[in-house]
Amino acid sequence: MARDFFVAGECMVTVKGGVNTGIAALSQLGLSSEQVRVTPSFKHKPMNVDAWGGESGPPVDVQVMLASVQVQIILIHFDPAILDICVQESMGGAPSIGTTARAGARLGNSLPRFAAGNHYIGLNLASPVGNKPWRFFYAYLSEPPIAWPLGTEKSAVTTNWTAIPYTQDPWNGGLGAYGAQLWDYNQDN
Amino acid sequence: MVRDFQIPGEILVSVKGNGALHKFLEPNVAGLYELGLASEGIRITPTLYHRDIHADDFGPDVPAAVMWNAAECTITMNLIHFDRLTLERCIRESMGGATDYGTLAPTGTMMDNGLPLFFSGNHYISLNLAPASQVNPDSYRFPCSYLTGRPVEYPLSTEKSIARLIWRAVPLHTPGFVYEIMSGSILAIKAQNFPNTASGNTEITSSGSILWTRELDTQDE
Repeated sequence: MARDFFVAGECMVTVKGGVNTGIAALSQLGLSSEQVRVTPSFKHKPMNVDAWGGESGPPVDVQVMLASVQVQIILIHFDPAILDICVQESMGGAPSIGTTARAGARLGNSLPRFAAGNHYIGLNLASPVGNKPWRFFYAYLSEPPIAWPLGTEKSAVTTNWTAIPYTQDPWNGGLGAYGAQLWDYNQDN
Repeated sequence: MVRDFQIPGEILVSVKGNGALHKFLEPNVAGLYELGLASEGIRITPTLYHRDIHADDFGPDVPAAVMWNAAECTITMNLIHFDRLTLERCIRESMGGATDYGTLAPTGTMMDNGLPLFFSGNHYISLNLAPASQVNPDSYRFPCSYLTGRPVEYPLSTEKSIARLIWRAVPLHTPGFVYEIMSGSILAIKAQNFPNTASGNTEITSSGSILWTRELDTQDE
C-alpha cells in the first residue's frame, strides 16, 4: 500500500443493540461536530528481575494483558431517542431513560452479541472517503457517558464510549483471550 | 531445559470424584467436571515433614539425623467464573459425603472408607489444574484432595462472588482394607481384596504414594 494522506471522510455514527431494544436494527446515532477520537488502551505488565534493577529498574520483558478502546464523539446532528436507548443499555438495561438497573447488573450476562439481555452496543464509525470504517463489537457509554449543554445555542453532546473484548466463556476452549474481538474494519448491518 | 520466565497460562480447575459429583446423581458414574477459573494465580504450597532424631552427643538443638515424614499440599484459589453446583458437591464430599448441601455426615466418617479412588463411598476428590496447552503443557493433578479448614469464603452481594477455596491434598494409596469403626475410633483394619484394584495391595504403605502428578484425569466412558 502506498504512503499517502489518510482522509476518513464524513463519519456517520451508527449503533446496533439487543433484539429487544429500540436499536435492534442498525440505527443512525448522528454526526460529530469535530473529529471522532479513537484511542486504544493497551495493558502491559512489566516483568522485573532484581538483576535488572528490580521494581525500580526497567522490565526485562513485558506481558500483554489485553486492551480496551476509548472513543469520544461530540454529537451535533443526532437522534436524541437513539442516544437515550444507548444510555439505558449502558446502564445495564435500565427500564426507562433516567432510571437505573439493579446494582451489580452485568452488561453481557454471558449471552451472545445482540441477544436479549446482552446490553453491549455495536458502535460503528463510517469512513466513506478513506474506506476504513471501524466497528467496535462490545461498546458502552462510560464515565462520563454524556455531557449535554443546555441553552439557546445548539447542543454539542460529548459522548465517551469504552469498547472491551467481551466473551461468554473466558476459558474459550483453552485459547483464553486469543482472538477475542475488540474491533474490526467492517460495519454491522 | 534452559532458565527462563515460567508462565503457566490460563488454568482451568476440574474435579473428579465418585458418582456424588455427577450432576444427575448416578452413584457409580465418576465423571470429570469443570469447576471454574480463578481471578488470580492459584497457589500450590507443599508442606514437607521431617523429624529430627537427637543424640546426646550432638546436644539438644542440632539433630544427629533427620527422618523424612511424608508430605501434604495446600492449594488455594479464588474462583470467579465457576459452576456453583459442582462446587456445592465438592463441599458435600469434603464433609464426608453429606446427603445434602449444608448437612453433615456422621462424625468420624472416613474419607476413603477403605475403598479405591472414585468408588462410591470414597469421598476424596481428584483436583485437576489444566493449563492452556498452547502456553505451557505442565499440568497438576492432586488425586486425593478435599476442601479443608475454612474451605469456602463466599461473599453474597450485588458484586460478582469470588469463592475463596482452600484444598488439602494428601498422599494417595491404593487401599485393600476396610475400617471397623465404633464411636469415632478405628477398632480394626481388615485386609480385603477388591477385584478392580490392579496391584491387589492389602497394606497401608507410603512408599510410592502419589501426592501430585502431571497426568490429568479423563472422562469415564
